[in-house]
Amino acid sequence: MSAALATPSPAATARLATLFRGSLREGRVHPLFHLLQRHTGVDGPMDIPPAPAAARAAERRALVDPAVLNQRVAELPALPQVLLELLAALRSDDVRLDDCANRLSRDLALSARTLRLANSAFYGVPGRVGTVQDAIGLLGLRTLGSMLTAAAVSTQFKPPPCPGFDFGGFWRHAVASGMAARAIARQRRLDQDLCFTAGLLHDIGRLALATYFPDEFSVALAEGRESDLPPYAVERAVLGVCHAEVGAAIAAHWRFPANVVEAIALHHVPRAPGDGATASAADVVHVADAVVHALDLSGDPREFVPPLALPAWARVGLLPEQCLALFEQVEAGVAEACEGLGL
Amino acid sequence: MTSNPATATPTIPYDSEPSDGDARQLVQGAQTGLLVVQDDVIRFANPAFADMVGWPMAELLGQPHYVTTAPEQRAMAQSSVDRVLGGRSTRPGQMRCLRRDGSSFDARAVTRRVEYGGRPAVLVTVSDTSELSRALRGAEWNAGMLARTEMLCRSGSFEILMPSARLHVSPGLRALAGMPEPAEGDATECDLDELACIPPDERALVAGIWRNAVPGEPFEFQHRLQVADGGRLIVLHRGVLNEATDAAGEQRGVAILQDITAQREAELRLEEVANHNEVTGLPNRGSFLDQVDAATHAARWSAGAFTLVAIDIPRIAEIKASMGFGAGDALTMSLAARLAGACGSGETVAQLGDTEFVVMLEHAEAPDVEVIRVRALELQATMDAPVRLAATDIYPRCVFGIACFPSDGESAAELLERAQTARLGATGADEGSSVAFFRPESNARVVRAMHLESGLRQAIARNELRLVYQPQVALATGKICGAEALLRWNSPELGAVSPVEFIPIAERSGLIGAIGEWVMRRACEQSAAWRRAGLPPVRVGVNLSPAQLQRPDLARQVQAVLVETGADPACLGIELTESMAMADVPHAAAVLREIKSIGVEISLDDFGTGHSSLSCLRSLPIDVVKVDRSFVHDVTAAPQDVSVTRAIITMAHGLQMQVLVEGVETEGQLALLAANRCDTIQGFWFSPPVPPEAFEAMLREGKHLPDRFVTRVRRTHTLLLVDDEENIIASLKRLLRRDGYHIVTATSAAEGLQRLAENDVDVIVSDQRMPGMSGVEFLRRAKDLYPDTVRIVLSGYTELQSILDAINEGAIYRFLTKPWDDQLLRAHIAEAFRQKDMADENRRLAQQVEDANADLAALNARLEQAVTRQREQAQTMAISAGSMREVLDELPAAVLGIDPDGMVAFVNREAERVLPDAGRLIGRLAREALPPSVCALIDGPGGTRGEVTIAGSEFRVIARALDGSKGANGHLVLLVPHDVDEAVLS
Repeated sequence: MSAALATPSPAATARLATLFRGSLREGRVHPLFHLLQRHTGVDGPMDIPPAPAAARAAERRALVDPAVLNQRVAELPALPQVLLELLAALRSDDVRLDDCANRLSRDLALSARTLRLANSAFYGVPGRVGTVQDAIGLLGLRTLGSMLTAAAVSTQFKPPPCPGFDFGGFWRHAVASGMAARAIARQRRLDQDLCFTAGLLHDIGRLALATYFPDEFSVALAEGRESDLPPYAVERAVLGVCHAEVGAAIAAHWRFPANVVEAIALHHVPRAPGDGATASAADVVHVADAVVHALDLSGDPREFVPPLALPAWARVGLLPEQCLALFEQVEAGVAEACEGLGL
Repeated sequence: MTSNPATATPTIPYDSEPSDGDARQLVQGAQTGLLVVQDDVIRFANPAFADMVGWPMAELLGQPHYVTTAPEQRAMAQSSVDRVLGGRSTRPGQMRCLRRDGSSFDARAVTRRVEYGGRPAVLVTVSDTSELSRALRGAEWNAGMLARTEMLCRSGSFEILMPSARLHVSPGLRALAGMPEPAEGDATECDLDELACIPPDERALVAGIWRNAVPGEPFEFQHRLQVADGGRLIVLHRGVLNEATDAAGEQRGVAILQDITAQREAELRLEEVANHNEVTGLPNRGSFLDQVDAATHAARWSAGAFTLVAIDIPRIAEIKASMGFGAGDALTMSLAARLAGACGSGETVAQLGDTEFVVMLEHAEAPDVEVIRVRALELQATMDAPVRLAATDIYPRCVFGIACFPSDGESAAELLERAQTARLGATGADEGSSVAFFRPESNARVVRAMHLESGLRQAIARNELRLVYQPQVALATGKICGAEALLRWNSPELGAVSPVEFIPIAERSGLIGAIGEWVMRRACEQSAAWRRAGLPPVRVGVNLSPAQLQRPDLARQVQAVLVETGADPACLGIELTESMAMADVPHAAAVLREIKSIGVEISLDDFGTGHSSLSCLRSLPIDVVKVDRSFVHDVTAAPQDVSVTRAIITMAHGLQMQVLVEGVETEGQLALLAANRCDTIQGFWFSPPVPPEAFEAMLREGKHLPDRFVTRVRRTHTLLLVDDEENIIASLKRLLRRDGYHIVTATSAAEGLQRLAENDVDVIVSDQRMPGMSGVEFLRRAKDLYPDTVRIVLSGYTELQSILDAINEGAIYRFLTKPWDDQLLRAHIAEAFRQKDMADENRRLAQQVEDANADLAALNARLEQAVTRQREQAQTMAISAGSMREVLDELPAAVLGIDPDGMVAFVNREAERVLPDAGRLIGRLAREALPPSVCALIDGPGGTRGEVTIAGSEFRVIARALDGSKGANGHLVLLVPHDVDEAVLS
């Protein structure tokens, strides 16, 4: 990273302090903090952004009924570019399965839709298809094409009508998390594609909330900006349910594999220590999520690096050099994906 | 009344009947009121009665008889008169008489039927009893008052007659003792010797006191009172025996018994509090000193002896500081109970302060010192066993000090002080022993220790502490990679104080916590400063104290220090000793894992000196083991010692830990370590601990190890020539110089070993016959120390057997003879270097193979995972491709697949062709996307066949439930255009 050689700007220093303000205020070192310092070349003393004057609990409440959510969530907003490219690729003569899978992987909604169809009991293997590669293999390209055509007709391509919800930032975060999870899984010799899926889909609950409960969710977003608390805490207070719970409920309802559901459910609160020394997909997604937040890819000025559960971090066990390489991979990967889609 | 014969008047005759005149005079003079009632009026009254009722005699006579009776009793009076007249007898009765002025008085009346004037009449004898009644009422009131008072005062009383000891118990005493109320007619008297409310064993005492009481002199004493419900009270018994003797010759006595149980208990409690520790209930210093004082007096009389054992448990203070007062008290109580339980008769336990206990051992005669030591060690073993507190095992680590009477002191206070003094000396004394006897010189040490402790308390605030840094060097690069931060204290009063001296004092006084935190903060500040100054990153290691490791929030504390100082966790290391880690392995493992996960390196100090088992070591997240200096040997050491060093290094590497050897003081040690793949060294040979400025300077100028010790640098070929003849060495050098070797020479075996230590030698050429040590012996030694060298003997003498043996055991690679052929020798030496290079390469490859093997397990696991996934994928593909998709796609009928959730999961090619909008179906809910008539076939219980018109075309519809091996898989819906032959479908 060239930034490491340049003299760090005060703005970059302040930005790092802002990203990690949650941990810094609590007087905890975030395991990623110093790695990010090295990555960005930021050094020297930094002022910790003060907490809002009075740490207050959320004042407004706008409850969401998760049961209603399950019944209603059918279509999630997708990126039209991804869909159009896929349909074009399917029409070409030398269509290749892995090419389709790669293109499909770049959109959360379309990936989710594909997985949902492949995990349908009709195909006899519900809860066992965890990657879009497998899903396409199972469904066949023709059925994939039909599904995408159907999606083209029924899916909305407009960002969710939820004030305060940045769809572009959300999309970048999802894709980056998937890439980070895949890269970590490669280091740890876990199932890369499954971890990619789990990383891509981990915030599906946020998209569902923004799409189907735009008013309620925008209240939660506003509260989060004012109170400067981690999003999941604010959501629980305002909506009565957090995006991880919503996402896990949807994933379970759509019969996604159990480890994908677990990764979505636990991406903010991984397992306690003493639960086996091997990293699970949930641990990988937990770390990937924090890494992507720390890389500040969403463009959200109030970006907040969630605390990292040390047992999960220890299970994933990345070495500093591996982390620095991971940062660059994710940044490059996201830049490429964004460029390809004009985002 | 007794008659007195001397005063009798014998002149008066005794008549049975008085004369009428006398009788009238008697009646008129009688002081008792007499009246006669006849025909219900008063026929006669004597003057006494008239006086009583205040009537003039003249008016009284002839009045109705009831005129002198209180109105409420008149009816009763009438009936009484009638009854007497009727011939029945009446008993004397109380009545209330009425005076003429309306006032009334109590009287006693007796009625008798008489003849008056020849007719029946009633004679009434009336005596005024108002005085008596008043007295009675007073007595009743007094009795009631007594009873209430007794009840309120929780006291009782009895009246007693002595010497018969018959007594009369008051209701208050009955109530106090819970005795039943006596039934009507029961004897209210009983015997003092049989009084049930006094416990049998105290009855004789109580009775004895009464029997010996001096009349007129009150006395008091305490005894117990047995309550009927089983309880016992303590009563204060006050009594007095009257001097007067009554007619029967008995003296009357009164006793008051007051319940003082509550006061007595309070007194006992007060005594307890004053003389005992409030947490443990053991006697405190004051009462212990009383006991020791008594023992000194007793020992002087009986020529006996006793010993004081003062026990200090600094851990209690540490626990209070780290885990709170509750935990500290719990530990104190458990240790106090343990100590009290371990002490038998003749051994007195007391508690002197929060962390100090003392035991007095009494002996019949002056005992042997060894006997006392053995007993003290027994007690120590008991006390030092771990105490389980919450989920942690606490190791108390007691310190014992012993002082004996009479040899070590005369007075109680002096003895106790000396025992404590001896104990303070115990920690610093010979290692492993924490039991110390008083010695006169202990005093001086203790005085200094106290000075140190008070000075240390202010050292942080006064900025007297500082850190020095001893560089740590990586053998792979030769560069400084870290430093151990060491604490130094320069006190204005005491001068420079060695950590060896003040650290134990800091640990004992609980100051170690604050000092430990200061060290970590200072080291982090320094590390951050160096990093900002652009110096190469180095890891600063700080030593952890046992008290710090016991804090459950240590990781959080470390994080806070890192955040505040801005230091990088990669530039901080913590060092803990083996014994600290082993004290509570699960706790240490949890805390250390947390610290490690934030990027701080964990080192295990003094490795090899404790008793850690390998399995324990494995469970701790240790990055580096620091091997103690006692394992570092020189090349001159015995080969077995060298193999210990080598074994430790190999083992640590096997556990994926790095090895740092500290205390490296000679080049020989360094060479040996470099040859045996040690990772890092620290020691005086490279640098002593230096102030931060000097360390910074070393970093700036890039101070590093000489290249020959750097393991990763490819060195030139080094040849060692050993021969006691200088000219042979000179000619060999001349011959071999042209081959480009780095040649070092030695003229004796000892010098040869020295050269080996200084240089990384590849090939050795040695003479056989040398003074001191033969060439074969020298090469054997070289083989043990540097097994990788290639060793050649060049000799003019052929002691064939010893050389053959040496060749056979591998100590010698080749045997060449003098005089030599130049070209042949050069070829042999070149071959030896090739041999060495090949061996080096082999070792490198072997290491790679080893590393690869280490990864093999992981790879296998990965492979297995991949295989499993492949298998699942294959299964998935087989199911999909084989059973459904292609067949269904090729079917000449439209097929829809609907899953149990009601979602359209499959649309075949034909369906897409014949059904309009079929492209929109997949992924949607059937009830939304399909005509209701089709949905009815799926959902409804009615038939599975039907007909439907879609977009103008008529279809036959057949729906069929799919039952897979794992339950319902949904429905298959077939749509066949009407014109298709029925036969196709059957």
